[in-house]
Amino acid sequence: MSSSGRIPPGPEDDDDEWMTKFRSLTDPEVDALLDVRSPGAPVGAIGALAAALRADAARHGAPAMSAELRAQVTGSRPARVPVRGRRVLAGALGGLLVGGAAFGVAGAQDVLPAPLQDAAASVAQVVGIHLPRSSDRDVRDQGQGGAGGEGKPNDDGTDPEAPGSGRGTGGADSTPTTTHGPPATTPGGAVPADPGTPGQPATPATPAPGQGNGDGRGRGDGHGPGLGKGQDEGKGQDEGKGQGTSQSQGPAIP
Amino acid sequence: MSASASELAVALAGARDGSAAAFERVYEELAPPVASYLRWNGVADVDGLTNEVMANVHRGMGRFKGDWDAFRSWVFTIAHHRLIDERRSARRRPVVVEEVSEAHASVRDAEEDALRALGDERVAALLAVLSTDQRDVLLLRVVADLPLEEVADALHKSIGAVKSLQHRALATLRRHLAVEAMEQ
Repeated sequence: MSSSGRIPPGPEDDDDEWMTKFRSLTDPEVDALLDVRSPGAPVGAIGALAAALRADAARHGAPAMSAELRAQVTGSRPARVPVRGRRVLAGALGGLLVGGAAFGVAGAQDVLPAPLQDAAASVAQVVGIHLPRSSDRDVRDQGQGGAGGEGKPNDDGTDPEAPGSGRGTGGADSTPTTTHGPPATTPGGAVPADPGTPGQPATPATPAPGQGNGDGRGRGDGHGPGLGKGQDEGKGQDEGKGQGTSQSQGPAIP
Repeated sequence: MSASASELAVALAGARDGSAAAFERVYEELAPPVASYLRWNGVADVDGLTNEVMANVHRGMGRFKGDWDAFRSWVFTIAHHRLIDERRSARRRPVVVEEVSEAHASVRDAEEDALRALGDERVAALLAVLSTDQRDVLLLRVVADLPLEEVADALHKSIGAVKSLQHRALATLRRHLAVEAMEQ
């Protein structure tokens, strides 16, 4: 059925004679024609048809109420959530899903505030996913200052290789390292840790102070005096990047 | 309307308050004309669809506001919407021809349907000369006993359009009857 008000023309129904007659009837007259129960209503062929149509309902009676409908009416079946309620519920679940996904991604990228990062890591750990904790972030930041090697003083007295201004020498190293050379005495912002025994792989994820080609990866602000020639006060931000192994010789200082 | 208006108003109020007995009273009053409306529109599973309509009515009782006449109109609006759904699904549904032996069919035709269906066949033949829109209007006016305004609401048409459909339906029927009388 079309929902518009346009009347589709029938092939034969526009009989001029009968259409003229019926159009001339008033609404009450048409009502009387269709309702043979009205007193004094003419019972013609149309009236007989209307009577037969009405009699059908009385003749057949009410269909048996189905068990499902009866259960619904008596309340033994849980009422369905209204459509609007279902929409709200679906929206809330969708929002929760999107929010959870965003939270998880942010947690994986370690960009959440410390309490949230720890919460995300704890939740993820339950389902077997490892996310970095805020404490890992602290260690990493500190390790990226790197220890300075032998720097060459610049004209302004700063050493490009000084801690804090150099690029990733001796930074936090997540790969096994071996040490060589004299140990650095000032870690320059790096956390002194077990650099490993000479010639042996150092403990992963610990900075290896001293000379070496750092493989440190990470970010951090290194502030502090270096051990370069001259007294340099490195300032700035150090972004140590790179991969590989650093090697040094000599005893390591824990 | 077989029951008094006050009795139906009480039943409606009780059903809206969640009374199962009151809803059963509403069901007894409205399920027969709803089933008849569906039957004359050629629905195969009249009982099943009538129950679905009344289940929808029961679910929406809490939202309904109005008196018995408005309620009756609302019920038939739901029935009409379900009828449209049924027509659509029937168009998509393949026709399953029931395998009935010729002998059994002839016995059924002869003994069961002959007298009982004679009136129905005549009525069905008359309704068949109408267009779908004309039949909808006529059945809602007669079987559902709805006034023009409520038929217009149920069909989402203007009152003028419903009047025009009604006139055309009556003219078509009258002309068809006249032709039949001449042939006899």
